[in-house]
Amino acid sequence: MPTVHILPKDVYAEVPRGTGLMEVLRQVGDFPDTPCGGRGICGKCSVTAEGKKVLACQTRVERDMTVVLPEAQQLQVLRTGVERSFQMDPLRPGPLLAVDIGTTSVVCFLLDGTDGRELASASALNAQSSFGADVISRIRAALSGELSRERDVIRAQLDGLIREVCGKANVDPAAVGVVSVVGNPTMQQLLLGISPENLAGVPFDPVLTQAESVECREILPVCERALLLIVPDIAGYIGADTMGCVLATGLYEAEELTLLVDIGTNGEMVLGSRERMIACSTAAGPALEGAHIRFGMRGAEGAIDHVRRDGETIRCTVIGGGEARGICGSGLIDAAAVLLEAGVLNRRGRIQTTAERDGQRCVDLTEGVYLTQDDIRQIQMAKGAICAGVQLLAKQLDRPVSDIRRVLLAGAFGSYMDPESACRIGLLPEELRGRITAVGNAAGTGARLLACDRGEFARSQFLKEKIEFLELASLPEFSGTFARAMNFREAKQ
Amino acid sequence: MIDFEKLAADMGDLKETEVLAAARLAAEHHPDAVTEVLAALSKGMDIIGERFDGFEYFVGDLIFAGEIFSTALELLRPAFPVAENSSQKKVILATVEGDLHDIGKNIVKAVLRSKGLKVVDLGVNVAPATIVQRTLEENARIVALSAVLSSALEAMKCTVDAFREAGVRDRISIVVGGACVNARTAKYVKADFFGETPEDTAAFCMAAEG
Repeated sequence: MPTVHILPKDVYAEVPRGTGLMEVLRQVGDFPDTPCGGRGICGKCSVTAEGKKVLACQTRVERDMTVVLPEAQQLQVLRTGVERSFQMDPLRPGPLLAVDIGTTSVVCFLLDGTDGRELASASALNAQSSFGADVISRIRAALSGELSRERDVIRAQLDGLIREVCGKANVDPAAVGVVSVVGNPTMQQLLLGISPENLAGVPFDPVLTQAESVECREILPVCERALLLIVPDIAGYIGADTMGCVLATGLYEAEELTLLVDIGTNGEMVLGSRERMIACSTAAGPALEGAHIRFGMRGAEGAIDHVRRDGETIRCTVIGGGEARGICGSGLIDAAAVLLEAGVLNRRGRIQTTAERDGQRCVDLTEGVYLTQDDIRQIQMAKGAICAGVQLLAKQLDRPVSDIRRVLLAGAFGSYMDPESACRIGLLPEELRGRITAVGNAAGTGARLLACDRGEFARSQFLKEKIEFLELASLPEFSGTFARAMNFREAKQ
Repeated sequence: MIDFEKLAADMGDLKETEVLAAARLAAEHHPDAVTEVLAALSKGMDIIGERFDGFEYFVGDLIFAGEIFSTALELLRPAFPVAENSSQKKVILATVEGDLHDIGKNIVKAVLRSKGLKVVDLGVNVAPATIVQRTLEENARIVALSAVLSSALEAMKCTVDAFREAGVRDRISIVVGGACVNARTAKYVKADFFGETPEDTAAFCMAAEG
């Protein structure tokens, strides 16, 4: 049997002929992870064997050989919600840009090209909102002839944000080496000018299924030297932004069963660990973002963002500290929890007090703001969808919900929501109380990692193939699970 | 012995365990009482409908009701009279092409069955030609179409047109419903009736020529 001499560790390993070199290195405990899953794409396993540079994952041991491993790379640490180490290894040298195109807001980060630290950031409300607030409206607009206008609008906006962010740090946009972009499938396709007809009907298949890099000047000419990274979408309604979250949180290498949730209109979630990951989109609807609620609004000044019970009274905190003129998502969840505990809502969500306005029962929160029976129903539907999604993902993995050891809430909403209230009303299964943390804009963090480390970009391709997608509506138990999840647990008498 | 009053009340209260236990008991020990059991369940469904109209119950409760009712029907099936009641009116039910939503459709199915109508459920994403073909095969004269996505309205219109092209439009009564449907869109697709609630749809089917 041939012997492999491994340096600089200076150990010997005798292995059968034909053994993969990667396997040998793993056996001696000496190798970093393989982002591309051993397909020879990312170049991270490059070693020197018998004086020649080879990829360990593509090499087999045929005879005695000496293998020299590269010096351990210095690791950077990102501390935004989740601590994450990565290597500075961008595809092109120069400052880096990471862009997160959300349906509602667009964020742009400028990063230093040598250590990945943030130099500046800028954000704005997505200018495509003139074509509609939600993804469906924008798809519809694109299919009725507005595709090139929507594309031009987002490109012009990114051009402005890039100039803004570069101006803040005194960096020339032409010097930027890599621009990474994450967004949901609709945002990605509109940016690239690809018709979203695939997203408009059954079977809702994604088209951006490959991690690809193109010359940025073809899309955003302001960065004439840069490479633009197109990150793959996982499914028609689970996009590169969710991929960014998975990368940022390291879900793919988690030892314990972990749930990643983006509580928002689409309610994307991924449940799994290093063994297996499944994703689904729960279409929770915009109620938690204030839409379809009588006094619903986004988390802006004047919005009730938290509600507490103080004996017989309800206490509300308002963003900005002034008078309440509406209520935002986190406030809605708190309000439902408080009303439930006070017995004002029964387990079916029926308001028990009889005061009415405009023909329906309502409950006053402040002088100017009240919740209607319809508002409660909207909350029930949104929370029912999300809770059902978690339960069905767990069922698909053949694990009880209580096995989930960590819940990571991505997105701004996740950072403001009170996890106790969320569990009380059953937005998240009550078994998960105490295991919930907010991870901030994980999608944006993912975009930063992708720009900094080509290995992460290669990993996204591997993950695209590894993460399974569960179409909830096709499960026979979907409607029953959804129905049950809409109910509340009544207060203990 | 079966307490039919209590059964109706339990159904109305969505007490799944009690209702299914009664259905099992009837199927095994009191098969001759099946008709009365069905009547009690239907009364329970009526109570549910009233509570929904009175805002006590919500969509989730209707879905749950539909499931309990369907499961109870399945449990009672062995005890049904051997010959299918040929005077039962048939309703062809489907979610139109391009749409996968079925929650509303399934609620309507349960309500129609609770009124004694025979429902042939074609499922979701059903092509216009298939709906016409199955309607003719089943000798049915009432068709109920569901759609949630407004992009499926065109498929709904095509389905109604397909009946006209087959030369049978005058013999068929078509009711439409779903989140994207209202009186105006029902007119656009040239349906006969817009079923705003499951009860409205049921009332239309009961009154239509079967």
